[in-house]
Formats: sequence, structure tokens, C-alpha cells
Amino acid sequence: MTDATTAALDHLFGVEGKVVLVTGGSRGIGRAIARGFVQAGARVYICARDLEVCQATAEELSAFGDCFAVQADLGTTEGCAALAAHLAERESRLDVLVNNAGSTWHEDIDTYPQDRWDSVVQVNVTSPFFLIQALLPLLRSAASPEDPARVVNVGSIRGFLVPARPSFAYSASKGAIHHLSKHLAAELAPEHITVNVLAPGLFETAMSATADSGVGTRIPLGRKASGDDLAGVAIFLASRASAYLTGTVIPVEGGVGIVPN
Amino acid sequence: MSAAAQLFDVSGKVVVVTGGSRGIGLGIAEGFVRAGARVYLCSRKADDCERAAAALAAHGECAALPADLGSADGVRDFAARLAQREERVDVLVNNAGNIWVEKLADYPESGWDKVFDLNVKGVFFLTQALLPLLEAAASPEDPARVITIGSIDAFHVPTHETYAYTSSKAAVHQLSRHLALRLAPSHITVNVIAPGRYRSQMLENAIALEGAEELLEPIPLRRFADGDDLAGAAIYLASRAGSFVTGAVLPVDGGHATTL
Repeated sequence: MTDATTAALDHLFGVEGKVVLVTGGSRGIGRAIARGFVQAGARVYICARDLEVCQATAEELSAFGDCFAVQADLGTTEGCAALAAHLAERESRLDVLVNNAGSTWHEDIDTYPQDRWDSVVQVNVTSPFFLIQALLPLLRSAASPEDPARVVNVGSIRGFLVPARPSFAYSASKGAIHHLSKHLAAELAPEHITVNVLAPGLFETAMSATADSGVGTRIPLGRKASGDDLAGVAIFLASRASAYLTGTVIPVEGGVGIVPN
Repeated sequence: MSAAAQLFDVSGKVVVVTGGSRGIGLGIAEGFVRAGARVYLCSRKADDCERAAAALAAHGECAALPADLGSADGVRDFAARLAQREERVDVLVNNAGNIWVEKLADYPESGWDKVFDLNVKGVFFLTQALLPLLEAAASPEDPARVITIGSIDAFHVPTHETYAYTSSKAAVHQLSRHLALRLAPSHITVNVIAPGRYRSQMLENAIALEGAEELLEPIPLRRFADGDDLAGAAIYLASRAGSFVTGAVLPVDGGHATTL
């Protein structure tokens, strides 16, 4: 690759020096996205409930660049406020917020419990909304017409494809975060903050083993999503290349969405 | 090479951009040329095609292969000439398109056919004719890519009387998804970029008539799309980063249709 070629790619896809927060960044999809940003030269904060696991991941990713661990409980709205306050002490702007933390619950419809329903909806929709609200001052500081601040919400193909398993709170909450993202995209566009969704299919994580985000489904491209697939779309959504995208849902699922029933 | 460059690297790829001598096609072609791909421009008027290719060649590799893709002969001839020069096509960007504006009562069959011949039939038969070259480029690790330029008008009803255009774009969106399913086992992805208002000559004419403010009003991000916006989406879909995406429709519209 020539210098001019590298410069052209960096112009379109470079995220060096951007301040990025990835929730649930200690494992799975969040970790893959965090790793991609760290390798691309961003300043990355990852948060998780378990500080020890989070610190271990941050330490590992620090081999490639800047990565910091923050303890946060996004199971409560207070936890969102505390995370935003912590970040505001360290940074004067936030260029990219990746709302990745999520949870799921499967159970037969007759016994599906309300406490599990509430906790899934809290982590998957309510907390992302209140975290965005709490981080708006930092996002506004980063936003400009030429380079908007970015909110990337991790949804799921189960937000638009009906799962085969009884994960009712999960599918409903993912449908909700997709539509919330479009609503917020309209609301925040005048402030130069874009809001987009990446909707993964099956990815090898602890959660997807039970989340029914593609289990048993034929994947036309014949493989599961890898870390590069998720990091790639997240970096695209954070870069100059996607500055004109807002309110979009990008499926990253190997074609599961076009398989006929 | 930076990590970002690795995920989005398209250097050395053979890329065909139809309708590449102006507008969105030219913007996408310029992005690929600057990113180190070997780009073929195809458009109907040989002079325009040669001129555009010569201008882009200042930044890298770009050649003109003029053809009329609105006819079966034109498609066959184009595929044959390309096969003489290349053993593989990594990326086909189906961008060439026509539009016809006329009042409903007077909308002519000839205008309707002209639009459908290029926007839908041309896309299908060009993809068919280039399959051997796409298959030669395809592998599980790095699929060959077909990128169709659709439009937000495929799912967002415009106020202009462009009946053949809106319905042809809806057709080509669904055609692309159908081809995506069919070609996935051959490691060829097929995706759609659905642009909103792009700063083209056609838009400049509309600005002269209606004023820019009027045209920007429905776009939440309050600007028109530019070359980097479209090249960015196309290079993402053509790179390692986009290799697990197929059958997707990616609106690049500043929120115009996505936030309705």
C-alpha cells in the first residue's frame, strides 16, 4: 500500500484520538469492538459490572494502545449516571458511545417471570436511553457538522426476525432499541450527533449460546460473525465514511435476514 | 499499515463502476481509485467516460470501458471486453441509472421502459454476465461483492412524478436481496446502498429551481450527500470489514427516510 493509499483510507476510516466508551466491553462483542478501536488508535473506555474482569481485558487491550476499565452497574439508571459522572471527570468530550451491554432470559410463556423481564428491558433499552441522556454534554462537546458525535447501539437481528426460542423480553427490547435509535437520530441530528444500530446475528459469546440470536438458523455465508466483522462496522459507524448515516440499522449476520421460512 | 487501513483495505481489487463518469458513480470510483483499487468506469457516452477515467487516473489506476448497459447486446459486449483485460472482478458497483419525470396522465411507456431497462434489467443481466469473473474472485475469507445503488425512494414516497424510478428502485432492492441468497454459497455478497439527496448535476438543477433551503428541509443532518459519504459506504461493503454483510440495504441519507 502506498502512502497516498493509506492516507485515503485514514481520511475515510481513521478514528485515531477519538474518545470511545464501550459498555459491556470486557467480553464478547463489546470486547471485539473495543479491541478494534484500541488498535485503530482511539482512547477507549470499557465498562462492566465485574471490575476484575474488566481490568483484565483493559490490561490485555492496552498492549495495542489506550484502554481503561471502569466499574459500572447498568442494571440501574443510577448506575448510568455514575458512569457518566466518572467519565466527565476524566474527559471533556465523548466522540463515540457504543451501547453494547445487554442481557437475555428464556423461559416458557406460562412462567416467564416479571423480574427477569424488567431486568432485560432495563439493561437493553432503559439504561441505553438514560446513559445517552447523561452523556449528552460530553457528546455535544465532541459534535461538529463535519464530524458528528456518534451513538452506536448494539441491537440484534432478533429485533426484526422472530426467534424460535422463548426469549420474549430480549426480542421486544431489541425491537425497542432499534426504534428508539431512529427516534433519537431525528432528535439529535440538529446537534450533529448521529445514532445508528448494528444488528449482529450469531457471534461466539457466552450470551449468544443462550440468546437465540441465530442458534439453529442457517447462515447463508456459512460462518458466525468474527471480531473483525463487529469491529469493522463499529469503526465504519464512528468514522468520516459514515458521517451522513443516521437512523440506520445495519445487519451483520451473514444473510440470515434473507433466508425464507 | 494502520489497523484501520487493514480492515478497510481494497488495494489491488478489480472494481467495476457502471455509470461512473458523473454523480454518485464518479464519487464512488474516485474513492476506490484513491484507495488503490484498479477501477473500470462504464458509461454510455464514450467521451465522458474517457475524460472521467483520465481525470481519476491522476490518483491511481482507472480505465474507461464505454457501453450501453440498457441493452442486452451492450451488456454482453461489455462483459466480453472486460474478460479480455481481467481474470476476475472483486467488486461490481451497479450504479448506472435512469430517471423519467412526467405527469401521471402523460407518463409514456417509452420513458417507463427506458428506466426499467437500465435500473433493473441492466443490473440483473450485467450481474449474470459477470458471474464467471466474480466467481473467480470469490473466496470464503474474502467474498466477491456486488453493490447496487438503489434509492431511499424505493421505500420513501417522493413528491415528484417519478413513477418508473421509485418502482424500479424498489424492484432492484428486492432483486439484490434475492441474488444475495442465491450467491451466498458462491461467496459473493450482494448489498444495496440507498442514497438520499446527492450533490449531483440533477440536484444542482433542482436547487436552481426550488432553492437549497427547501431541499434541505426534510433532511435531519441538513446537508446533501457528497462523494466521501458514498465512497465510504461502498468501500466498507467491499472490504474485510463488510465481508459478513449480505442482503442488506444501507441508507446513506442524513436521516431523510430513516427517521420517518
